[in-house]
Amino acid sequence: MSWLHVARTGVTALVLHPWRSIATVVCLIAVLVPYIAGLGIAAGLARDAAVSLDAGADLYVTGRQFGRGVPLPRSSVEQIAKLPGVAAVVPRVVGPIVLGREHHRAVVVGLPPEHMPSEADCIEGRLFQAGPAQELVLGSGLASRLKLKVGSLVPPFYRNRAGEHVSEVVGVFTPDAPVWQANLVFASLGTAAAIFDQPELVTEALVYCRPGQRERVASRIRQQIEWRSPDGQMRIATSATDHGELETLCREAAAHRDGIFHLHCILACSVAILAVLVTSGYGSTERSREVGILKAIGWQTDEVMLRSAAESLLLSLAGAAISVWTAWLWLRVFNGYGIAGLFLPGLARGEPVRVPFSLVPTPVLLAILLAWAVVTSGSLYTTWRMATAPPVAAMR
Amino acid sequence: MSGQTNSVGTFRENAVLLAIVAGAVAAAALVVCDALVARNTKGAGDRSVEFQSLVRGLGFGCQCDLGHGVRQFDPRLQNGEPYRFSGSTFGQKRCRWHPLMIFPAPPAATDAGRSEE
Repeated sequence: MSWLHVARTGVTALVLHPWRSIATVVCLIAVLVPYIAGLGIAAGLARDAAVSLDAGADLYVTGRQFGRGVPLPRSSVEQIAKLPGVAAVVPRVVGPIVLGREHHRAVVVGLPPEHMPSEADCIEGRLFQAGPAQELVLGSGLASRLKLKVGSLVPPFYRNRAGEHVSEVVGVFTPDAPVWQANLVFASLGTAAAIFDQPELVTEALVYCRPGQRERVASRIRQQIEWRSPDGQMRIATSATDHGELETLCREAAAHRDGIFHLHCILACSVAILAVLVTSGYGSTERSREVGILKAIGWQTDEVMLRSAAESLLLSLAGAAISVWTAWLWLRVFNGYGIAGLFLPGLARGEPVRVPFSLVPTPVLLAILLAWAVVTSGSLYTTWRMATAPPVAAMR
Repeated sequence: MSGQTNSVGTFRENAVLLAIVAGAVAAAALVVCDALVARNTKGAGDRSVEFQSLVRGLGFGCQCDLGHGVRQFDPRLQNGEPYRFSGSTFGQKRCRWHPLMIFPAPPAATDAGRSEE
């Protein structure tokens, strides 16, 4: 009997005990679906984080007092722009606010309206424009919770010494933009300054350097840029953070998060191996008798093992295939309901925000390998014990 | 009779084998297509690039607001705090809010996030 023919009898074994096969596949699905879905979300988040880093500046400059970070006076931005090696400096305001009766947390981001396009595909409506009008672009989650849409007018929600104004929602981020847009209030630098009543300060300066000048510019900023109040009583030093440091951090943090997730999954897999052992044991009397008969009619131990290995391979393939489909449906159709919260705890359930995911081939192949390892370790040992016993004992 | 049973059994085995192989091939095709579609079509990937170029790079933590500390939203905003990644897997530096937090909690002495609790 050829090896292929022996392997083909693995299908017979699979069909012979349908409930045992179904129970094994269900065990696999229970472990693999969260694993594949989790790795998919982790890969999607890593991809979006890499885009966020690439779109960022070469240096992030902030003020520093008493060894702590503080906002930067706007005049420092002009000082930095004059340094050799600096291509451009963009002041930015980022700060938290609380909105509405239910105290929804939001993140105000203010940027100069110059060099901004009038429209963007990731915005329903339009971007804010330069001018005195307070125009806001809201995150999809925030707009949904506050029941605001394009054209809505927002009564004053802040305190300002110069007086408060009604703001207009001119745009809402589309749900398929990255998750960090969910609670954003995106506005011009002037509007953000008015919201926080800090017309002369920015939270950071984004510095873009000429090629090869990043380290020199960072060093010059740390050494040369400082702000002193006109009476000389107050001084703000600067600190500059390098883009390279952030890239390293991003890689390490993503690896760490994936590692933690893998640890949890390995624990789940060890439970699955036990479950497969139990499901194999469920039909052990039939299996034992079957192995005994095969041995009695002249099958060798290695042939019995090959038959069992082929059965395990088919079961793991079936389990992995169904798991991939289920994980994809879970992520695409149900937006990772339940599992997204593990990776994005700040995301409220049912919020109109797309959970990023990417079913990259490597984790899926890993899942198939894992499935095969689980089924094999669950069933091969019991088969080997039966196959090495005398046929009479196995059939008893 | 036995021949009929045998042929029925063979048919069922073939059907099961075919279903498993077809399911596996379809799953592989799904993964490949998903990767290709994400790469080649204008979709979420482009939205991500467009959004980030508008806000000039914002967010790569696991939170969607600053309520749990700026570090969990975007460590770039944590003015002057150390960026070095120094979390131990199950040590005290793990963030208390969630075991899968992307960034471990910063050292207590310079923890801006905790003061916002």
